[in-house]
Amino acid sequence: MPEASPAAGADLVAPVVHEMVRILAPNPAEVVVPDHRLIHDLGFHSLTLTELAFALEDLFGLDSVTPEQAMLLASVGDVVELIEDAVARSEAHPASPAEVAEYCARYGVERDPRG
Amino acid sequence: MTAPPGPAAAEVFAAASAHLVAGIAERQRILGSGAYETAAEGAEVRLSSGRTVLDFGSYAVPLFGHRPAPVLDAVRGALDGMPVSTRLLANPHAALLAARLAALLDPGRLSRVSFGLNGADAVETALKLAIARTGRPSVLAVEGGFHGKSMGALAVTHDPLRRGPVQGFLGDARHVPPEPDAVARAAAEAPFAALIVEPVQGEGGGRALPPDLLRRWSADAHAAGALVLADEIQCGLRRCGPVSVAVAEGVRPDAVLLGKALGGGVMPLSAVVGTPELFAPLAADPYFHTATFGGHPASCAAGLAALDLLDGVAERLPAVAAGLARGVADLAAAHPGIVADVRSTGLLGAVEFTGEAVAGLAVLEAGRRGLLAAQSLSRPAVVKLLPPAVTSTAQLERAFAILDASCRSAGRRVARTASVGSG
Ligand SMILES: Cc1ncc(COP(=O)(O)O)c(C=O)c1O
Repeated sequence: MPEASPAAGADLVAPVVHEMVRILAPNPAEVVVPDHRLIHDLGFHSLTLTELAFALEDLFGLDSVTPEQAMLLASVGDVVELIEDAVARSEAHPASPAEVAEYCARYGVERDPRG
Repeated sequence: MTAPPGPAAAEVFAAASAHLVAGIAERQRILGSGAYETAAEGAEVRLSSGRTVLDFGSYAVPLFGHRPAPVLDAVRGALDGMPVSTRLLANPHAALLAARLAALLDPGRLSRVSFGLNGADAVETALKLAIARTGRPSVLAVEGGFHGKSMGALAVTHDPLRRGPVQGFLGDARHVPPEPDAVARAAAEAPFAALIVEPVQGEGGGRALPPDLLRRWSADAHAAGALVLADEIQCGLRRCGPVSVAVAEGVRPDAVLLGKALGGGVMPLSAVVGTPELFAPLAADPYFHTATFGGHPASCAAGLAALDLLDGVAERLPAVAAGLARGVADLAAAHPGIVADVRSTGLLGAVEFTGEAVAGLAVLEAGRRGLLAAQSLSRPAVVKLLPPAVTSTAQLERAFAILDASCRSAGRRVARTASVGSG
């Protein structure tokens, strides 16, 4: 697989994370912003955080995130930061647009260009 | 395996979360990676995303595989004729199926049949008949036993978590430990109407009770003037080998309870197949126990077709059972850190994890990788593997490759959690 430059890859993290959070949040927000708190604002709990972890692992090739690690991530911005760091360290890869589109289709939602 | 185009997954899960049980809907969405079930055939289920998953779950219903053609044909026949019964006129499907079951299970002894839809219906009926027959409003059940969740069935189910909220309303039931003299001791303490026992405990963790223990219990119950009810709703109909485990092991039960696969994996159907003595209260009062949909014609038509498939199960069983036994043994060897024990009886396999949380993670990991399996209801550290008899060698290999990867991933999560917790 060709080496993506870390900076170029990291740029693409936020929109994808926002999209997945929007799809999976128990209390969905019309537009997801970095300051949204996963548990308090968006209603995530242990099971749905596991689901979010699965999705992000699939899309970014991350190693297993524990539900407890996910619990330590307070806001959407924290999640983006975690993945950007992993991409920068080559422990994850940028999500491919085709895979993101496929994920959205599976969940029966249109990809929202606003992220 | 095709299905007409359905609603958007987002709409389905929003409706399920808002109006059904939200905690179950969330789990279903994870297991289906966002998609819902649309069609099924054999050991496989197709999702709305187009993906196909192996089904070793389904509450043990598709023993013959999903949608076996002879059962579908029989049900279609019933639909084209008279799918419901007047109940005032004789229903041929119910009568003929009753005769088939009486000839199949323990000919000459278990000659009377009562039909229900869910397994719990059969449990309720059997308990009610036994209590009415003996005049003793008390029953014995077994530690680790599962018999359903309606009030009468829950009274004999051994699950403190599910009994707790309704405890005061449950009937008088004592749960005995798996010890040879347990039934004799209980009989010495107080009289009881019946002992209800699963020869192979399903939801209690896939555990077979020793045949000599069952025979001793049966003899002691009978000596105390009580009846013996073998709940084979999960383990019977060749899931664990024989058509009736209790009859095959010489337990001489007064009734065998069947359900789950009895409707061919297509229709809901359960049955109590018992002695004339157990059924005596219905000889005295024919309307002592009735229900609107008892003996449902389309269900009984499915049941008749299902019984024709039992020989096919017997043929496939040794190969699938051997593959299952090998597979769980390999899992135990490969994941000693999280797999505490494994066992299998016929087509009922069990993987006992070191805890409920890691078992839950393993189930979610397996679902997203393409294998459906469930935790035992009253022993959630145990994941049950219930392959249909039609599972091919390749499918069995695929299932265990998925389980291996799922155990590895669940184990990593648990290990990381431990280090996060201590760090
Ligand atoms: C042994 C046994 N008995 C009774 C039941 C209850 O059956 P149902 O859920 O169809 O009411 C079950 C269900 O899992 C079972 O395994």
